[in-house]
Amino acid sequence: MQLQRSAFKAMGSPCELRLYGEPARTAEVARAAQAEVVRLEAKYSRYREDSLATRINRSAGELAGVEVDAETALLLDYAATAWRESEARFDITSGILRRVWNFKAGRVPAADEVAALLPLIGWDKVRWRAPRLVLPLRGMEIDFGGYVKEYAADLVAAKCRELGVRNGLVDLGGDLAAIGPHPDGRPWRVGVRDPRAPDRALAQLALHAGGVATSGDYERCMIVDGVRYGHVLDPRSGWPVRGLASVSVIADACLVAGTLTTCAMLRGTRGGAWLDALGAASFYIEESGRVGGALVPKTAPQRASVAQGRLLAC
Amino acid sequence: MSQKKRRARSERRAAERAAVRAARSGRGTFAMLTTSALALIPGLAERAAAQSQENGWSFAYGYSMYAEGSLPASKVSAGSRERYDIDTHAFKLAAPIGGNISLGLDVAYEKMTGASPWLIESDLAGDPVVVMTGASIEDARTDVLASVTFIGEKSRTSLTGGTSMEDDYTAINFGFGREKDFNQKATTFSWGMGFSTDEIDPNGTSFNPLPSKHHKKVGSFSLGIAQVIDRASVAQSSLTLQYADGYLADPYKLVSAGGINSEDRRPGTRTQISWLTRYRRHFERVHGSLHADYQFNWDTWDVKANTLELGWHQELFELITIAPSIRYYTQSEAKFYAPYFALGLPATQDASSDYRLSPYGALSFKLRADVSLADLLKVPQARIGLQYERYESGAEYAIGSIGTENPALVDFSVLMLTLKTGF
Repeated sequence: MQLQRSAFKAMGSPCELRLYGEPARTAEVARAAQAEVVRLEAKYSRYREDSLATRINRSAGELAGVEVDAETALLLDYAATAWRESEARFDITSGILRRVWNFKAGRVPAADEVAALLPLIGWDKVRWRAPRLVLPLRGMEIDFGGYVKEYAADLVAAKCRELGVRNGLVDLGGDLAAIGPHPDGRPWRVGVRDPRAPDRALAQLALHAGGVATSGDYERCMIVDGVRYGHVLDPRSGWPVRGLASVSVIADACLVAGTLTTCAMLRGTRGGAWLDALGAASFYIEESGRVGGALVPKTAPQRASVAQGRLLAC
Repeated sequence: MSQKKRRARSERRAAERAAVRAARSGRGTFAMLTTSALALIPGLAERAAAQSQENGWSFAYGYSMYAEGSLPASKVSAGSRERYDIDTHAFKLAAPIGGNISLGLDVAYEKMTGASPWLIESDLAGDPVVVMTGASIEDARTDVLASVTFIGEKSRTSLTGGTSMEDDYTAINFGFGREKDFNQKATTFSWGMGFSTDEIDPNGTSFNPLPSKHHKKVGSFSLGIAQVIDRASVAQSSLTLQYADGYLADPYKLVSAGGINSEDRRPGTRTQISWLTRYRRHFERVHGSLHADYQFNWDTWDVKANTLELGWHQELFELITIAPSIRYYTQSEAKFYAPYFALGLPATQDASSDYRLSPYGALSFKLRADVSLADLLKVPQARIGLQYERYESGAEYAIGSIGTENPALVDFSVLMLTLKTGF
């Protein structure tokens, strides 16, 4: 069986499908898979004028709200569960913080700019009862970007299995879902980036089934006056979290893995302990360089090669 | 350990599993997220069931020191005032086989030293006083229980078999249990049966007449239901019927009637019904849970008992749990019980002065602290726990008034250390 690789760009990230099978067949499956990703992007991207996400966000302030389809209803129910389980840390209404946080321009907002947005953030303010979603205040937004990529990875992997591919890997910008291990049973080897030298791998994780998601403070971050600001913002304060440099989780679904990495990052230095108490298959690196988690390989250094005091790369 | 204790223990485990599913606690979060993702992602249900968190390895060790308080001089007319000390080591192992089967092994080793109440007689004023056995009897007991559980997507079936051995006592037991989930696992029905047979061959050194071998058989049947009420609360209720047949008396006890001591005699059968209800509610804002348990017992010896236990489990810093609790117990006397009998009795009439069949109430306090060592030791699910319990019983704790308190009622303290881990 041959391994076919097809790469494309979607959801703002480089994506790759690795499929085992007959070339003609896998090419067809790859096209179907890519179509699925394109469908989800068209539906949930806030950058598209005609997407469902934009229609929902434009309805903010209208008490009639928007009627959503079955798939969106399940995604909103999932977001509600994640909000409750994370004690309000995982919150899909927090996307509006991007209006004041500009990581590309390296601009740190003023405290009152952030504070002004907080009244518009909070899943508890949203009125959600299937199939009607109401954003009662003008300026509120729903951002699917925090979890739709992981969901897409799981959905694409399921689609490939449905179309007869038993072995393969779906990679959507670093969110991975296994269709199945290599045909000889070997797992997929997933590299975990060194958060302070992101083009180098610090460790390797073995993925047989399910999905892997990673969150890190090195992705889209900025350093202003020697202080690192990561892109993971705590919806309760509006400010970036500190504590973990990177966390990866393996779970039955990439969607669940992604929620756990986000929640762990949002718990700061206690995020690692929280994942351990859950019994999660995780690998995390604290800002101090300390490495932990159930997946710590025997050969990984106990302290990552992070030199404190050295100018940190972004 | 008795059949009743085993049934109570497996009921407790089932309730704990349901509570973990519902309340926001370590494993609960994982299950809640995965359950929510099931409808979104095709094929996830099969994968999640196969790799269920319930089917991993786990190992636990517990050590407990139990000490009964000594009796005041005013209650003892002869023998040692010191009572039992019991040290117990317990091991528990669970191992998965394939995707759907879990094997379990529980081993407990107990060492008992001390004296126990032998008979009760009347002092000069007519008040009952205890004659204790002589100092330091040393006894050891070994308990082994093996189980195999077949785990299905919405049901679990288990078979158990075990044995209990002491110097003078041997018992073997078998059990069968089945649980079935309904309403997307919000409701679980369970039922089970158990059977045990034992033989006691008393040591004849300490009294007269010479005892002989005795046997008894016990059968039990139970029905239960567990219901997840909402994402923060769960309730469970179960009814157990137990029938015992054979020699049910205590061969090491005598009873005083008309000033003459003779052997403890009890009916040859005993039917007991017990009804247990549990409620657990988690309070997210304060990271704590309320535990409430109530049990009612009734039997054909006229002993009726009520138990109420309330506890609070408080999580601190995601790693530590502190759990204080209080338990109140009250029971009425068996129909053939008296501290002593003023007049003589025919040899065939049932009579016992065992304090465990007397009317009394008891109050106990427990404090447990549990710490997760998973992060420190790099071993997932590793935990260490310490528990202290103080128990006091007496006529003053009972509901209703009690004419005469049995002088042998016991007070005790227990300190228990447990270590757990999983893979």
